[in-house]
Formats: sequence, C-alpha cells, structure tokens
Amino acid sequence: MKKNFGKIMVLGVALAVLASCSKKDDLSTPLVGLGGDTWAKGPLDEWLSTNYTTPYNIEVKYKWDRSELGEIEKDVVPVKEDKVIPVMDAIKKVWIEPYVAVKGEAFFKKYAQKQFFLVGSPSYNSNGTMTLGTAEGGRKIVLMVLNQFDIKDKPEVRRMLHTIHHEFGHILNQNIAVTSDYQRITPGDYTATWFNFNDADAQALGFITSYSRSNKDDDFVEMLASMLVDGQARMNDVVNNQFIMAGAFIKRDGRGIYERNNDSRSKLTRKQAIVVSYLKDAYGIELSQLQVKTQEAIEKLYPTPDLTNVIAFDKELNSINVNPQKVAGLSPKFLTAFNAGNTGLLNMGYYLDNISLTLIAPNKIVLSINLMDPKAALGQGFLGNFVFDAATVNGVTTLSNPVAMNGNATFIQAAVTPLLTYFNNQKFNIRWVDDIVPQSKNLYGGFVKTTDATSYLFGTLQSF
Amino acid sequence: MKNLLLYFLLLTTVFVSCRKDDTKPIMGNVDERLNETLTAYQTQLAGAAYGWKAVVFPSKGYGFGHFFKFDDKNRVTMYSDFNLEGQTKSLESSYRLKALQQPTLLFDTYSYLHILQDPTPSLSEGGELGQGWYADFEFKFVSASADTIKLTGLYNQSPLVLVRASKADYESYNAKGLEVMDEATQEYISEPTFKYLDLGDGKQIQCNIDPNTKSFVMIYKDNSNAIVAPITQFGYMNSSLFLKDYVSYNGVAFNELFWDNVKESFYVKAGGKRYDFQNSATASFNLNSLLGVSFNTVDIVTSEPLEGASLDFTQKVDSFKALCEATYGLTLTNMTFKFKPVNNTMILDCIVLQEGRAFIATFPFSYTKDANNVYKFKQDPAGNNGNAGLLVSFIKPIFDVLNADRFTLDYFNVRLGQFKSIERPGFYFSGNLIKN
Repeated sequence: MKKNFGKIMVLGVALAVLASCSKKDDLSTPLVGLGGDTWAKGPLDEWLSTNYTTPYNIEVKYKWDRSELGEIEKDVVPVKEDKVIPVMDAIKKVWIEPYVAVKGEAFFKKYAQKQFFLVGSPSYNSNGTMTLGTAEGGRKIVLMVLNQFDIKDKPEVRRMLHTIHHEFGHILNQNIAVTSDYQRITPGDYTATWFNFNDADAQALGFITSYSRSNKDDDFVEMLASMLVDGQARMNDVVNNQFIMAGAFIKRDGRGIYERNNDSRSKLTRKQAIVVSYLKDAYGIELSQLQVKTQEAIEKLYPTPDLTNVIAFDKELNSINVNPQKVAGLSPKFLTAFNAGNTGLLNMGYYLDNISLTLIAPNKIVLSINLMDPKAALGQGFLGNFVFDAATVNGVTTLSNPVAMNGNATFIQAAVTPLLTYFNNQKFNIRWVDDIVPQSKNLYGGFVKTTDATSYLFGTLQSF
Repeated sequence: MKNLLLYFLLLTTVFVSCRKDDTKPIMGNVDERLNETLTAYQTQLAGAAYGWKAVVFPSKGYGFGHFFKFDDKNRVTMYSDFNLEGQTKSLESSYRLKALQQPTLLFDTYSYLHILQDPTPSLSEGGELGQGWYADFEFKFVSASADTIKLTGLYNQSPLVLVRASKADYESYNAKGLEVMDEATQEYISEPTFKYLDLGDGKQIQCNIDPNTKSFVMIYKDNSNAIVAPITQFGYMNSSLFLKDYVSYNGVAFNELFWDNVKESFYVKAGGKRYDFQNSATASFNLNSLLGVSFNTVDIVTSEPLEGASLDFTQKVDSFKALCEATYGLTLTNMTFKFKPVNNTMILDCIVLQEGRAFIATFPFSYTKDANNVYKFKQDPAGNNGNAGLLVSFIKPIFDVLNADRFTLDYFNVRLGQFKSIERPGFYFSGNLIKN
C-alpha cells in the first residue's frame, strides 16, 4: 500500500505539472500567401469565369504552372493567350453542351472534372510519340498542343475535340468503371509499342485506332471519343471495310466477292455495343442522342460546304468511288443496275469491282467501270471509261450521250448497258447524303435522282 | 530500484516536455519576408518606366537579346532578336512573380521568349525536338542592383540579364532597334577585312563576330606565348552586342561591344577608355596556327552553291551528289572536315538526308603537316562507317586527289578556310571555320 501511495504521489505530481504547463498558443496569426495564385484579372479571366467557373464550377488554368504537369521534367511551353477562348469555346460547344442537352446540367456538374490545365505544346516522349493530353483521378484534364489550334484547320480541330472526349471518357471511367467484358474482347493484342502500327493495322485486330492498343482504358475511351467525334457513319464505314487481305489487296473469290474479316468486324461491333450499354447503365445516357448532338455541334462549329464546293473538275478531289461491297445502304434501284452490269461482265469472263464518277470539265462527267479478270493478278484491273455530257441547271445535273473513251469501254459497252442506262438522260443532285446515311457528311458524296428520291448511289471522295 | 528509475524517467520527461520554446524568429516571419522580397522585385521591374534590355543565354550556346516592359497588372510587352517578327513587332503576354523555393519570375503565357523553348522544331525554328534551344521561361532571382537584375533559368539554368533601359533605348527598340543592330552586324562582318582590337599594348587581337552562332572570339597570344581563342556568346541590344561573360586581356575587361553608328564599326569601353575595332587586309594570325585553337572544322555546305571552290572540285561534288540522289535518294547537304591535331587525324563527315532524316557517312583520314604548313592526307577505308561504305565509290574521284596531292590551307574571303592542291592548282575548296 505504501509503495502504491508513493506511485500515486508521483503520478499526482506529474499530472499537476502537466496541467499547470498548459499555455495558450496564439492561433490567430494570419497565414501569408494563402488563397493560391493571384494576378490582375483581364478580359480573358472574365470570359473563363462566365463560361466555365460560374456555370460549371470548372477552373480553367491557362497560366503556366509546372506543378500541374504529370511529367515536370518534360520541355513543354505555355499556351498562347489568343488561343484560349477559341479552344475553350469549341470545347464548350462540342463537349459540354451535348452532354448537358442529353443528360442535364446536374449530371455535368457532378461528374465533369473540376480543372483544365492548358498547355501550348505537346509533351514529347522518348519512344517517339507525343502526349496530347492527360486525365487524372476524375478531377483534372491537361490539354496540350493548343498553340497549333486553328479553327479553320478541320483535322486539327477534330483532333483536339477527340482529345477532350478521350480525356473526359477517362474521367467517366474513373468515376464508374466499364464492365470487364470490354477488355476481354481483344485481350491478347494490347501492346506498349502500339505506335509502330497504323490505324488500319489496329482496326484489323478489332481496335478503332492504333492508340487503342495501348491499354484497356485507352481502348475504351478511344472508342467512345471516336464514336462521338467521328459519328456513326464513319464507325460503320470502318466496320464495313474490314476484309481479309491478300498482300496489298482484298482477298476475293472467282466472282469478285470479297472475303470479310468477320473477326475484326465482330470485335469492333461488340466494343461499340459495350460503350453504348455502359453510358446507358452507368449514367443513363443514350449514346445515339449524344452522338447526334455532338455531330450537330461540330457541324455548327465547322460548317461543311456543299459537295459541289468540295469536289470539282479543277479541285484535288474530283471524283466519287462507289463500291457496293464497301458501303452499306445503296439504293436497290442502283444496285439492280450495278448487278446487271456485273452479270454482263461475268458472262465475258470478268467481274465488276467498282465504279467511279469523275468531274473532268464543267460539263463532262466520266463513268469509269473498274473490271477485273479473275485469272489475273489482283493488282491488274481494267478501266472502261465512258464520258457523259453533264448539263447543270440550278443544282440539277442531267447526264446524257455516253461515249466510250477507250478500247476497254468499247469492248464492254454491250455488257454494261444497264449501268449506262441508269445514268443516261437522268437528272441528279450531286450532294452529301446525310439524309440517307445519317452523319455521313464529309464521308460520302452521292448522286441522287431528282425525279425518284429512292434511286441513288454514293461513295467515298477521291482524286482520280 | 528499477521502478524508481522509471518514475525518474517519467518525471524528467514530463518536465522536459513541458518546456515552452519562446524563441521568436529574429528576422521575422519567413513568408512575410518572401512576400516583401517579391513585392520589391515587382516594384523594381514595373517601376522601370522605359523597361529593361535583356539577354538570355541558353545552356547549349547562342544568346538572344530581348526587351521587356513590365506593368503592374502582370502584363509584359516584349521584343526579341530571334527573328524578324520579334525584332519589329511588340508582343504582349503575361508574367508573374511567385515563390517557388526562391523568388521566381515566370513568363506564364506564350511569348517570343517561349519560342526558344518550344519543343516542336518547326515552331522553335531549328531547336531540338523535345528540347528547343535549351532556354528558359521560368527564372529565379540571383542578384539585383538598381539597374541590373541577374536571373537563372529553373529548367535549363540559362542566365538572363536585365539592364534598365533609358528613354532613348525604349524609343530605339520601338523603332526596330534590334533589326537595325542585327543588319548592321551582318553587314559589318561581310566586309572583306579582318577585324582586330588593340587593347593598349600595341598587339593585334584578332576578333571574330559570328551572328549565326551568336559568338564572339578573341585570338591572341597569352603570357606563355601560346595562341588562345576564348569564345563567348552574345545577344543583341539596341546599340550593342551584350556578351555572356566578361572577356579580359591585359587587365582590360569588357562585356559589351558597342556600335558606332557614324563609323559603322564596333568599340569597347573599359577603365574609362574607348578601344575601336580596326580593319586589316591581312590576318593577325596565320590560319595554320589556329587549327585546333579557334577552329577544328572546315564545313562545306553542299546544299548551296559552293564558295571558293575550283571548277574541278565543284564538278566532282556535283557528280557525287548526283550519284547519291540517283542511287539511294540521298541529298548531300554538308561535307564536314573535322580535324584532331593531337593525333593527326581528320574525319570527313558527309551529311545526307533521306526523306528529311539525316544520316552521316564517316570517312576517317590521317594527315601530316610539315614545317611549311603543307598537308598530306591519307584515307583509311577500314575506318569507314556503314553509310560511308555505301557512298565510297561515289566520292572516289575526290579521294583520289586528296590521297595523292599535297595541300595548303589559307583564309578565303576572310571567313572561310581554303585547301588548295600544290600539284593541281585547279583543285581547291573552301568551308566555314567552326570550333566544336
């Protein structure tokens, strides 16, 4: 007991000392430099505040801050001030507004990342690739290469819009992950050296772009970004052009029927289907609606001129190539004529592969019939060229008086008469066919009969 | 006993931990001091009514003159000697002072200064991919006096010097002063005379100003009678070339070459005295004595018409070029003779482009130089690299002469070095003199 008493005494003294020791710290000292960066605000800061910070609580940081970069050791440079508004305006129209229109502001405010950091140059990597943007933890997107943004340069604008949709795809995926069946579609073909292959190589393996092969996450967001920025017509076009190759040419049978690459077709289609169901299940978004809104926004931002301003006899693009095995949706009336021409050629020991319609003068259009000899090498085709008079009045082009231009044409003229008849003495609108194949503007140009809207043909633009 | 020890420890701990540290930082709050420093720099930068003359020296050579005028709203207006646009068109961008480990000046939106650091070669106009010109746009303050501020880049450690501008300077920059200075310098060095300085001891100091590499070389004999050629870089100011380092000779030190608009010549100022650049028809030093000192490379630019080359040599090069083009689709851009006097070797690098990508064909030679400065070359085919192996038969007519003849080396048109065959007076060629 005595011993314990001693212990208690010591403890008591210790406690007394501890208690008497308590002193008050002055916690009111202001912290210097709290509150982040400050600078004199200008019109640019006002614009960003009005268009991003106030409505969506998104900070757009355009002033240089190396610490915002993932790789601070890289040489990258700040953005040009005069690029900020054009870029952010385009992003607002093509990224924010479609999502808001389809799913509402509440969704966007909840899931959109809270910060943009804008960088002028790309970040070059040691493997020869360059980084165009990054997304971090669902909170921040770093957008690069903005100094080369030019609203008049459509491929560059598309690339930038692709980047923002790609990075926002990461943000969505970082919030709610896509189901793992996506990565099981092409498990064996992800590679760190994706940049050694082009898009066509990647597509033959079931990836929409070469970068998709980088890893499963980039695969997913590349598909999402491509579907939104390129539109459904282009996605279908990619799938419809998957064939088994024999060297540089498509493998085919003795009657010219192409052998389809059903493996890559199925992989690409399944991936698209998962992206659609992901947006639906995770966020309640109809991808098709979002796609329409995005395409409309791009079209509004960068209006496509009429087809007759894109292809002309004196322009680089002067021709439309029509290949029924490569495009879906040609009118049955045209296909009937095409197949009849093919039958005629088959009877002569050839087959009809494709046709081209080429503007060679203000009032002349050449129909080139590309026929093949099944016994010859794949690279050796023949062209039968027929020149039509083409009189255009008020946007209506009347084709008449086909004349064989070369020996091949004379040789096959009788066999392909149904095809010539389809065009001869007929009136056409030469125009985009996005009313027939939605979102196909810039991709397919067509000839549509003015007297019969159910009779038309279309195909890709080429220089011939 | 053990318990006692524990109690003792407990008590000691309690008392010790109870001690309050009442020391106050005698120099005040660190953050406050930092802010004061930043504010002082800000006041000094924006307070210069006529702005600042500035030169940045990238870490891999060159120097680039700028002019900055800072305001108190984080805006800066600038010129740059980098290209014609920068010399003649003022550009506004933003800047900020920030504490990043130390007080730092950030040029935080794109400007002329950032072109030097742009990682895209087409935009940096010749910088390296992913590196630019090894310059900077984030600088820490090193020292500041009323009229001179010295800074160092955070990324490539390139020095930046700011010198307070006068009203006359300001007006001069606005009147395309950098372009005028650039053109005056180009004109000055294109005169067919050798330039030298006499810094008081009656001896000629041969001076080379090279606007292409933004370098300044003085060639003289040092105390041990050896020829030395210290090199430094410069950037343009509105009426001078501002040197990266002080250069000194015989106690005379200077870091600026001033332009005399009337004499159309340069001069330096040191110790209250003025020393003018002089012209001479002859060089102060024989070119042979400078091999390995002020230059070690003779570079023939074959993508342009050859200068100082004989018809025979020109025809042989044309035939070499045509064979490269016809056989492999290669464009020959340079034939670069690199000397290594210490081991009497010379390497001929033929630079060829294939679809824009450069490849180097390397042909090694050994050589001798006798007392009369006569050169004798011998090609060593065993040392040719793979590219050289492909091209060796195309260049053979040139090698046949190089292997057979004896050569002399002398100046051509002041700036170039010319090799001439003794046996065949109709065979000679010239190239730029480069030190690397």
